Amino acid sequence: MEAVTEEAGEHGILQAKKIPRIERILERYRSDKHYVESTRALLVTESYKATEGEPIEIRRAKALEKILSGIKVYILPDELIVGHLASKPRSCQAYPDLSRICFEELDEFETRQTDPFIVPEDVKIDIRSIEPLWKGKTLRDHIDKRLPEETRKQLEAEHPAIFGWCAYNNGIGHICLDSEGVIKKGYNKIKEDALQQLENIDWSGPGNIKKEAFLRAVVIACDAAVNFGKRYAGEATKMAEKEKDPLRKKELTLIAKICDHVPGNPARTFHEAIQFLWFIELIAQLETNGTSISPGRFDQYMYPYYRSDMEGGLVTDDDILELIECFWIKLSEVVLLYDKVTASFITNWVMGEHVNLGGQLADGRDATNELSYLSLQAQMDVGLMQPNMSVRWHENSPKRFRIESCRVLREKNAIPQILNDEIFIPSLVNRGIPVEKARCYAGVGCDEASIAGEVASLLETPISVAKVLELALNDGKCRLCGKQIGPNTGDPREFRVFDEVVEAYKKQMEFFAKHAAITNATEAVVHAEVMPTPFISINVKGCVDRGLDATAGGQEYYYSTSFPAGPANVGDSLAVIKKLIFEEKKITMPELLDALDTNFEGKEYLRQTLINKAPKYGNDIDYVDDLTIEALKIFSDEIQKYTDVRGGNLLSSYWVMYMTVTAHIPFGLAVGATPDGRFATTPLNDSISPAQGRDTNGPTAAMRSAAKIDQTPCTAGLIYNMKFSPSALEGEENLKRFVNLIKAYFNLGGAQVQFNITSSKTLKSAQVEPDKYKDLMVRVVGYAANFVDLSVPVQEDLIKRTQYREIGG
Amino acid sequence: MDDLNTLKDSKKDECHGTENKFGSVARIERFIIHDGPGIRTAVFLKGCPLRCIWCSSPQTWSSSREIVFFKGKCINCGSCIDACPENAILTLDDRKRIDRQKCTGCGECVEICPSTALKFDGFYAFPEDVMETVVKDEHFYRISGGGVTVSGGEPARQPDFVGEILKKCKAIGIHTAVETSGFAEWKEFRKLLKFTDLFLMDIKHMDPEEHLTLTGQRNEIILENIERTAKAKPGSVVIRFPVVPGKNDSDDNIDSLIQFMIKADINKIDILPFHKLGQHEYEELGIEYEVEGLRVPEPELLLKIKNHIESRGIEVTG
Ligand code: SF4
Ligand code: SF4
Repeated sequence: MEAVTEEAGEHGILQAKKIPRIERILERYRSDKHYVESTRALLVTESYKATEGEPIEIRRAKALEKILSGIKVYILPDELIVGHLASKPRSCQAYPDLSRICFEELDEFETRQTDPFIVPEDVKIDIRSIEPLWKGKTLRDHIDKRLPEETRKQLEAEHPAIFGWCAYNNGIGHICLDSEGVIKKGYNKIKEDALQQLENIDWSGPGNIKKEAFLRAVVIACDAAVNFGKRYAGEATKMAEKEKDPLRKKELTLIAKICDHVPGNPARTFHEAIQFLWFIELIAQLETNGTSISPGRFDQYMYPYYRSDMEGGLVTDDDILELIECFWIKLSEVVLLYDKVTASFITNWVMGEHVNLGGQLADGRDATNELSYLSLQAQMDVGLMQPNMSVRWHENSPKRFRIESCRVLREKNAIPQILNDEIFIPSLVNRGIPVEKARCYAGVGCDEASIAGEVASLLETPISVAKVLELALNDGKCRLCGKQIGPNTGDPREFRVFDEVVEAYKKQMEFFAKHAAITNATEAVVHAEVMPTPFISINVKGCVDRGLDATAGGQEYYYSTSFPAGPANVGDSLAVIKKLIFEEKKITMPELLDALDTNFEGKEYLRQTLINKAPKYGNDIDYVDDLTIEALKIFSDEIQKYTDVRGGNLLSSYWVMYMTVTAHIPFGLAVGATPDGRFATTPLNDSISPAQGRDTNGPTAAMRSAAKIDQTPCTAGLIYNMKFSPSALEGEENLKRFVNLIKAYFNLGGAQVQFNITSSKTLKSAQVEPDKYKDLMVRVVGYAANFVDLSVPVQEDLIKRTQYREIGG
Repeated sequence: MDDLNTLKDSKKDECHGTENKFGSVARIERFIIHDGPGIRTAVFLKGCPLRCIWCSSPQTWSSSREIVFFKGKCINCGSCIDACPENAILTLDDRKRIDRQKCTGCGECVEICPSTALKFDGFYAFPEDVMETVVKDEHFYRISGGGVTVSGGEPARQPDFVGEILKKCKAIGIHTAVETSGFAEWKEFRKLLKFTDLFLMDIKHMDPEEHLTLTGQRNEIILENIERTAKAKPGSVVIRFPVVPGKNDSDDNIDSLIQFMIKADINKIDILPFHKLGQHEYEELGIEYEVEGLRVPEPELLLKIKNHIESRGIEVTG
């Protein structure tokens, strides 16, 4: 691949373009309302009734077949990429096979504060009608039944320290599919491979009864997907016949041709490839409600199609750009029906399709190409919540790529986020992945490092480390309700040295890490038993060859994880205890604990002392940064003791993740007052960012604090969120400074960084007049959202986060 | 947490007044992006010979450390009243919190105040102390082409202290800039010359009398220092011109500014619009804010001045 010229100037500065077709689609998109529909729910129920007693793989494949042949097929004006999840765009399906929430919260979807959905009366009747059939039979019910009593109690505690996540309620997700391989092959070929295997199967061999069922499921899934394409081809043909506008007629005829060809056959053009890609995303989302099923390295595997189209003189850059923009909008159309708790913090209905740009080729050379820039351009023009875009930077990334990615993130606030290859690649290698593969990693979810088609979906059960410290400082009892939820680790009033505090924290951590691992293991087993995913399995590597479903070990690499919520609160709290209690003896342990018990009531003097007389993480002060690092290390050492029960070929399969998504808000609700001066039930710190408002020495100091944390173990990603006022980034000079700020941070050992570029003044105005700020995008940890759609606590949290002083204003 | 301020205060008693390389610093700020190229750390000094009527930073007037009070942070706990040995704090009244006549600057109240509502507006330090903070962002300077800017108060008022900081920076390859009013005797001012890469030098008015009215001092010595600096280190001077409508924006003044620059062979100027962002500093120090009558320049005025200067072949930034 050609090296890209260094200077941005030679290519001109990336500026927003307005493509008329895209403007029209966007206008429609913005006015679309969100509905829940019952089609999928009814079809899956019907199928389950008909397949009672058959192997589960077959039942899942037949359910998918039923869905794909039953849901409404329609093409909207201007669409070049076709296919919808539901009968109306931006509406969602219900998943009674996976989650109980479509029953439990049916009457609340319309009225809830965040992510409301309209539920028409007939949909309510439909869903109520199938409720009895699913009672006790959803994926979640199975998980609940299989969890050991002790672990289930932890997950269901009123103020828990561990939380069920993703695979607890949803189908497998957080996975990057092998789009590259699949688009090249087509499902007809994959089906052929499966049939071949079936022909030679030795029924008596170990596991082969199961294998046979799986391979049959593969055949059904392949056919179902191909027929889904044909249905669209049929629809397009019908519409073309009726169409008066010759231009649109031509487009519809082309669409018909494309959908007739893919996904059954290998794509031959960029348009076919991108339509194929959309079918993969769409069908995966109809199979289960997995989150963050990600297209991955779009600019890499789409590049050959781009090149050959360009060389053939078939298209121009503008044609390609238009298609990419159509695709970006399609990705934003996918909405998920989260439960109300999840919806309170993962807002904007996002599913989290992660697209990765730039980075390296397998041999280590720079991978940036024309499509990387066109993809950035598309983000500049469309600027919706999805895709969740990241750019990969490495030592030899072109200057132009760095500058343009920062320009887009400045203009489009929040997107893309930036990943550092120099940390992620060694991180993957350390886990046992060959370096050539590691160089081709793609982000999924927030920024978990994945290898397309090879790394399986993650299992994750987060631990609130702030809660763990609370329990260490209360002999295992919850400070909010007094219940004993952790082990007895001693009465802290009797602690004579600081190390005893750390020791208690460690013991509590050991206890909860174990329960987190048990939760992950239970999810793994139950998914394999009741929720195999034949469609995901034909879109990853290894499953068809091995005859094993993706949930059952068919893939190459399996990993689990946990993430710590509130590490900066813990570090800051430990600094308070060490400095003010044990070193300076300014306050006593009973004094502190009494104040925590009463949530600092009447103790403002003490609370201010805790805040101001001990150092805080995020200010480049070793004393407290070291303690934060220790708090994190105790967490990661504990979780890395475990192994993913699904098998796979990794050296170590418990990866570390330092992020909280927006869970620091709900997790904070479960934690009493903390020694860093934080009030009970208020948000914890976000990911590895400093606690809200506690970093006062500017971004370089905060970055140096963060970079002291060894980020290499974070193969499963980490988030460092910074907030900048727009004035600090105005003009080309400041944009370059910004690029260099990030470069320097990466050089110091930072793995990832993302930004919010909005003044708190703007945010406050948006709270008052939401109508005026409908398009105000902010980054909420791993994903971007429309500010006005966020719940009030999330809004408040964003406003509170340190606003770097406007400099140069 | 104002780590540096509290950390370094301890040194004050050991050395105050006895050592000429001991300096009075207002604050050190990291990630400064406008006083010179790249990402920078700015060392703001205390002590200034001028009293510009538009000054936005009265904390840097006096070279001795003073107590500042942030009323928004005060929780009215009353601890400062009990702690003050001079009875300089008798009331929780926001405006008259500290009796500046009685206060000896002992710092007892700062020590006791839990919420940092009472603080010193600066600290005394050796060059080494300043370097300790400065080197922290070395990495950021290197990658961004940034460095250190020593700024006012007036660096030339503490030439030995500042000279030493600059020398130490250059010794480890850090780019150096000095932002100065230029109001100092040449024999002091020249001590800054050797280790400074970039001089940001203010011209507030070209007319000596007007200058006197606006700043309390005449400007001959300033203009002379600028010329000498530009001669000694060609290309190292950038002029900074604060635009205060009605005070120094006349065509005459700007013409003579241009002529001066051409004569001195200086071809870069920053235009800095007057702003009122420093108002709170007056309050915190318990001084009246007297610049209410001054106007913030309109963008049109700034543009007009910019075009005027540019038409004479001088590069305008800011
Ligand atoms: S510095 Fe000392 S004398 Fe001045 S107000 Fe504070 S305690 Fe009183
Ligand atoms: S000690 Fe501080 S917080 Fe308390 S009254 Fe005095 S200034 Fe206010």
